[in-house]
Amino acid sequence: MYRNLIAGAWLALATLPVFGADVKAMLKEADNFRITADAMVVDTQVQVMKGGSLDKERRYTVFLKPGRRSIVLFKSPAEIGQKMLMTGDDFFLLMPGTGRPIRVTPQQKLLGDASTGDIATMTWAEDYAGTVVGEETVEGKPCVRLHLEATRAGVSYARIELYVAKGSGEPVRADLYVASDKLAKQAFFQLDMLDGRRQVTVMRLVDQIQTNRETLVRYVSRKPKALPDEYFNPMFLSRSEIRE
Amino acid sequence: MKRHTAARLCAGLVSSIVSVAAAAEGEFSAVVRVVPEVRALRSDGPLRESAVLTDFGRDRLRAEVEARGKVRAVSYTGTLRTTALEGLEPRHEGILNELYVDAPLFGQSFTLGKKIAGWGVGFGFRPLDVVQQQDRRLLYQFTLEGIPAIAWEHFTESSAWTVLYANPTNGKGREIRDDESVAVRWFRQSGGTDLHAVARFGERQRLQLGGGVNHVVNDAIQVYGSVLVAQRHERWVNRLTESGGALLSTAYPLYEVQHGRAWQAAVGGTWTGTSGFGVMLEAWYDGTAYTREQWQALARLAEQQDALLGAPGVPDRAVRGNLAWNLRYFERPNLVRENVLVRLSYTGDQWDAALDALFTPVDGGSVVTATVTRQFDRVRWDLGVRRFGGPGDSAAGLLPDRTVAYLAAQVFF
Repeated sequence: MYRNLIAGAWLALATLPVFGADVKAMLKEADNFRITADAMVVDTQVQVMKGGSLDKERRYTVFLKPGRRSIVLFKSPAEIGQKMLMTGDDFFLLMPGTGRPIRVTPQQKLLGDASTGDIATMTWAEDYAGTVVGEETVEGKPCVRLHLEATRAGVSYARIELYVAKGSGEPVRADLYVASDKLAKQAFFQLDMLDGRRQVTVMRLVDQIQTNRETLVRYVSRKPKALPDEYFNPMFLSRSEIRE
Repeated sequence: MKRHTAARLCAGLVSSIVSVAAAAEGEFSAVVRVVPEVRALRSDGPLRESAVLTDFGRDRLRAEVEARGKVRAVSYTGTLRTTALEGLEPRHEGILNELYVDAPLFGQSFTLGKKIAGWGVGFGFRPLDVVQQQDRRLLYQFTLEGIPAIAWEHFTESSAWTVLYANPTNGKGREIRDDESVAVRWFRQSGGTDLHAVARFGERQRLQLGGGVNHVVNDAIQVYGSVLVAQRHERWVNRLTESGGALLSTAYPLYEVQHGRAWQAAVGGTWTGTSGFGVMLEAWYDGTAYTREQWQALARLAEQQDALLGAPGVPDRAVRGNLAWNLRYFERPNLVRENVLVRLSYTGDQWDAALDALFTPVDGGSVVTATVTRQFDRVRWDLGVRRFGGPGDSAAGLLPDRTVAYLAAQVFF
């Protein structure tokens, strides 16, 4: 009896790293449909729909660099000039006309529209760890279901149930849970051929709390671009050199 | 007729801005703001009678077009503003808020031109804002006007140095912001902790030295603090508060008094919940502000002057003029040295709201402000109300204004 238990426990422990490594590889593969280079610039158009009609439209340019570093430039008329810097779990915001980058807490970062720009470019492989919990058919596609837990504080969602297509590994749906473990949004991914490779072109976020709200995130362009490291200094936000 | 002229002027400006926006190359954005403001005078108080000679108590309407953009390496922000005060001629002005070039050269970063430079830490009062001060007493914040400067900056990923030469060749200007000065800033980020240090040298305050820290405790809480010491500072004092004799002066009675070292310090923290609610608590000391005794002396003088209104042989105009001169005491970043600010806020998807209460425990004064903001796609509405309270000899209680309310409409292009 004990021998069987010990053998079972040993087997479970022995397979854990392999299982973990597989999930990491699956997440990296799923990321690659949205994040097409290690260092890149992504233009996104975000349309917030309320009751089926357009409530507001926002545009963001997001510069990504390995090491969980990103800079979000707010491009829509009502927000232009705002910049947000994210380095790991540290966040800084520059409001136009102040010249003063201010530190914001992870919780403050989640308030307002800015988090959408963040969501659009989140990297599952860097920010989450998890396990394969089963297989399901989602949106008519056979999928592998991954249960993901955030590995750092600053991410928008504490838990994600991610469905990736069997075989291709492309993301199909993600159920996004906030820290209180409440389902906040469901993300649906639309893929197309772009620049010779299959990429996510639209992410549709269906709000599960305010059920009449839906957000369409269109990936307008993705280009490889590496900003110099010093651009990720919070004080650099007040300078005007950052351009596409 | 004048109102029609102002309206036509604004409409013309908006039309021009939209045309320019449509045709502009490079980055360009514009915002049209219309901000009506209603002010109610307090029913009593010795300085109330001076309001007729000043802007206190006058309803006002400000309409402006602000354009912001970048052409090649040149960034700019400019404003065309019309201000109409109740009972006065409308005033039109053009403001060049910023015009500067940020450019890398030999691996270093340089700035030349007029640029907004906020260096401080905190919300209510920022002692480290040694180059550019933001007037936190304003109920509605319009875009700041930058400081003409030449600056060198050096950045690594986690630290930064700035050396800034402000208002070259200006000497001592009319206000601190106009003073010629050399300022140095050092910044270092280490995980959730930021360290700031500043130094500034100018003719008015001589050497200023300061430091600050900002620390993120957890997902929801951050704390911060900063301290600054100035070698010298100055304040305007009404000589009639010192003489104990004459109550009225035929000539401008305020004179500038030079004082020695002064400290400024602020500590605070914020908490933000998952629901969008937040709390901020901040306390600060400003050694350059007037003392309780100075305010009491001013209140005594103002009461005695006020009592002369209608007295035989004393022209009311002279009394009101003397009362109005006293209002210069309110031209300070902080009215009283010891201040406590509490802010409750809510940030939602559509609505933001905040309730601020500034207390000055030494004199029992208070300034309570409530604001609500609604953001649409290209339109934003702000509504705010502020009420000044406190005993008659407190700084806030002496202000001629009792309540101020505004409604701001902004359209973004």
